[in-house]
Amino acid sequence: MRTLATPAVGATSAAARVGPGGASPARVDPARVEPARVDGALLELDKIAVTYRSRGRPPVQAVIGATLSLAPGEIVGLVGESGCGKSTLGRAALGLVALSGGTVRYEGRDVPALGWRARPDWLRSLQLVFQDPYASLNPRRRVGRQIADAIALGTGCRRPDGDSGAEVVAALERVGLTSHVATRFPHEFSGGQCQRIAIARVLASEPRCIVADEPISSLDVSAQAQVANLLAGVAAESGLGLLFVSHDLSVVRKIADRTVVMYLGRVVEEGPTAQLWSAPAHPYTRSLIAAVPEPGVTGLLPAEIAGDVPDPARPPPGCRFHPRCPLAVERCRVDEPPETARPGGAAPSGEPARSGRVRCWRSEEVVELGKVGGASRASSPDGLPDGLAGATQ
Amino acid sequence: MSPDLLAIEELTVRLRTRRGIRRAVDGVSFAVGSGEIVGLAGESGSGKTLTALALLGLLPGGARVSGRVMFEGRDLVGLDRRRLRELRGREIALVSQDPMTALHPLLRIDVQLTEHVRAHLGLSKAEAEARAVELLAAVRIPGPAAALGAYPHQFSGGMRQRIAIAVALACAPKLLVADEPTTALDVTVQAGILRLLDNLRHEHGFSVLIITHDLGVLSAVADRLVVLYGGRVVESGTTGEVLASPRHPYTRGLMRALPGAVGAGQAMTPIAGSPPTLDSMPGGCHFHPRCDWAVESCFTVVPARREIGGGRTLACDVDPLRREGPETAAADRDGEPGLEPELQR
Repeated sequence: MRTLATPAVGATSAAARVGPGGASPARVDPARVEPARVDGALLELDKIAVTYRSRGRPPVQAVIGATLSLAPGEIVGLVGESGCGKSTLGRAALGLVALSGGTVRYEGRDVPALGWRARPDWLRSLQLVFQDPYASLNPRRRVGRQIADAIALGTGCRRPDGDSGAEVVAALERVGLTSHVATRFPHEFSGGQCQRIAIARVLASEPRCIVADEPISSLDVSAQAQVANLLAGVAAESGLGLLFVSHDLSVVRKIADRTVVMYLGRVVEEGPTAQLWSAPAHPYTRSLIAAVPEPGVTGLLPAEIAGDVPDPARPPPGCRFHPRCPLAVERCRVDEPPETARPGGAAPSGEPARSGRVRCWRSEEVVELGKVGGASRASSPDGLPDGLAGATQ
Repeated sequence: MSPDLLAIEELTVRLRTRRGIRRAVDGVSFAVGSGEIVGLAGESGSGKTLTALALLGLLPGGARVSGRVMFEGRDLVGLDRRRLRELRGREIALVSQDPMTALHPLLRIDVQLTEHVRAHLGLSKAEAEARAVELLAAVRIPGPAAALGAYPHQFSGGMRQRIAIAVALACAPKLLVADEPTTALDVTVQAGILRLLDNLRHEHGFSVLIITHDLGVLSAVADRLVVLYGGRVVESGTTGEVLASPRHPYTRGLMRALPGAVGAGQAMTPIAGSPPTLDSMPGGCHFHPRCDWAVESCFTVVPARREIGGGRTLACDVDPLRREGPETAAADRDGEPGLEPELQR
């Protein structure tokens, strides 16, 4: 199991960091303190609850009892509609929101909430990629300088070797940019290039875990593919964990090893991406998949989920999805389903703990429906075959 | 086939940038028939939004337009302001990307849904309100009468976009221009809006010009596609044919970059490089620096847009279908730095 940064990162930066003089004796490296524990999960979120309170309004439970883990080298996709709490959960993983319950552990240590004190140095290897690169990059500082900042912070030393030195160039080259970029300002680049610069900056601090919050949503199609491939490639080659928060299921399907689906603050389904896609066990996952337009199939309108996401301050009783669920029965309206193992998921990998969880009373029947196919998309607006949807209402 | 409702001919929009006058839209021609949904596809900077603004007469002051925009036999280019104003909102309506900015946050829905109806159609207040209720019902807003007294912030994003569509449809326009109507919305909400647009055009018989970078959206609703790159039309044809067998290298690249278009486990293949900016527009075929099939003539000669049968047009002299080795060439280039041409110098 890898404990430190990867050969790729290590090689480029170690070679570069020696610099022309060759001497940097005062280099302390607090970010490279040995992780307390490296077996198993890199990042563990256990029964996270986040409640937003504002005066004169009922408290909003943005996240309730969400459990999630991330292993080194693993890509976990976190998907759901806007307002489902996926960004809040992503931020909770970094200690950026105050928890009302649960714990976040990173490399075996509790992640403290953001406060007045300085963040501990060991947290620097847990990094965040934001949605809008124009907002996350400083518009008035040159790209090279911003990357040099990250190198200095990540390694705990003073500025490396100038703002367009070998280390900075190596960081830029890692994301497919050249040294010319270093002397320019963020506004001189397109959205896709800016996001790559932002990723270069994050990678320059030698993280072991990255939370990416909608990193490709504001980009053009071809730039989306570039950035998604870049992040997936980095995770694979460097062995860093990537929590990829996105509303775009089709991209998550392409890059994530496991997918976590959230609805109204709850994790409703979690499992290996391929299994989740081929046989979703929750009706919500099924509807989400059916709503993705397929560019290969023309004239087929994507399926629509009836109704809107309810007000999170007044979630419906019972299963939170029941008012919009075509399969809802009486029990769903009264009792909230507990978290159970995903049915039919244990077979291929032979590792039952990894095959996922689901929160649905009727998950056995949902899995039986199998793949969300073209026929079912066309036949009824909710992505379910007519027979089943009709029989249950 | 019925005569075209809208025929854009050799539309050119020149913008002044710090480095001189640049053509942001360069000789774009296409037509929209009545009752048809035409998709204008392209990445940011391809000129798709400027084309839409040009046909609505909403371009920024410094822009210069040439060419013709024939709407029901009238040329909209150079039409005086008052005529254009009568036309906009009544015959041609716009649905923009962000419904929160399209709707006035301080005005109730009834004001926003009746003001232009009364101005354009001369209805009384009561008549206009009755129509507003019908419209809200048509865009599937639950409790339409009660919704009239509400403010935009009281609705979700999807509902707001439905209301914005109702505002656009209020005067029964013949053409609806939808600029990225679903880009800001969730996939599930997007599905609802696309279904709504498709149903409404069958019920009301209007045409739609839908502008988006998402080929997935276009494949679902558009009858025909016009693909723009660097201000020029590179390919056009019926949606089914263009997406099933894209002929222009750019269209092929766009398809391969889409996560949904390739099977599970297959990686998305991005197009190398980035779209050019106005000041860094390459000569010859605008796409040549990013093209896997580019030959020497592509660097200097602007490929003419020609008919290739089946109502399709193509602006590429190097037909990828007839050449070999694109897959290997593409694989080699994937790792290459994506740089604007000016950065490579």
